[in-house]
Amino acid sequence: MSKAQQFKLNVNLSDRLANYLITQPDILKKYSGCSYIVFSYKNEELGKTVVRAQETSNPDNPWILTPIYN
Amino acid sequence: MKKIKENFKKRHLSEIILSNSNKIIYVYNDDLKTKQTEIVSVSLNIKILDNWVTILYYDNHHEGLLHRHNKISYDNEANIVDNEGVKKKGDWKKLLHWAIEDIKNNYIYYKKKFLYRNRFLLKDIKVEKF
Repeated sequence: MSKAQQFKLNVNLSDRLANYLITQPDILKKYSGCSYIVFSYKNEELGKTVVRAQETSNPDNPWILTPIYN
Repeated sequence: MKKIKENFKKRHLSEIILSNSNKIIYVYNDDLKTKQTEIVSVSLNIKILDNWVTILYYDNHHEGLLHRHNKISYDNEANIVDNEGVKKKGDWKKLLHWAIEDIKNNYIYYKKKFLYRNRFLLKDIKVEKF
């Protein structure tokens, strides 16, 4: 796999989440200014409210979003 | 008498112009007390109307690991944090260099993704694609 292919694969998950969230203005408004973490959230301490985003296999509900309060 | 909190941090800020409508801004702090250096941010900024908008930035605030923050929407400061494919550890100079080179090499891709995602919000606004 080329470096370019690997790079695109790496940013793909975040991009899919971003593309989903931009179609959900209510969620964006509700968690305005928050940082969404799509993986490795367990070891992070951002010091601010973050939202855990878990991808599902359900096309009708592709992401489960759970706010995490530090 | 209140103690005056002394600021032991020295901030460095630099810009790298990529084109008329794209630039990198990087900021790092030297902690003069601990002699440690922290990357505050390495950001990709694009010009929309007459404003520079940060659409992506790296920092290593969290346990010293480098993270990428992607701005989701033009009209909201929410962002997505990820570190897939990101150089996570190393001394601050290596991380800073890696982040700058990543943006230099991929800024058109990052920008294209952002503009496409925000195409409806930006439909009446002319933005340089490159």
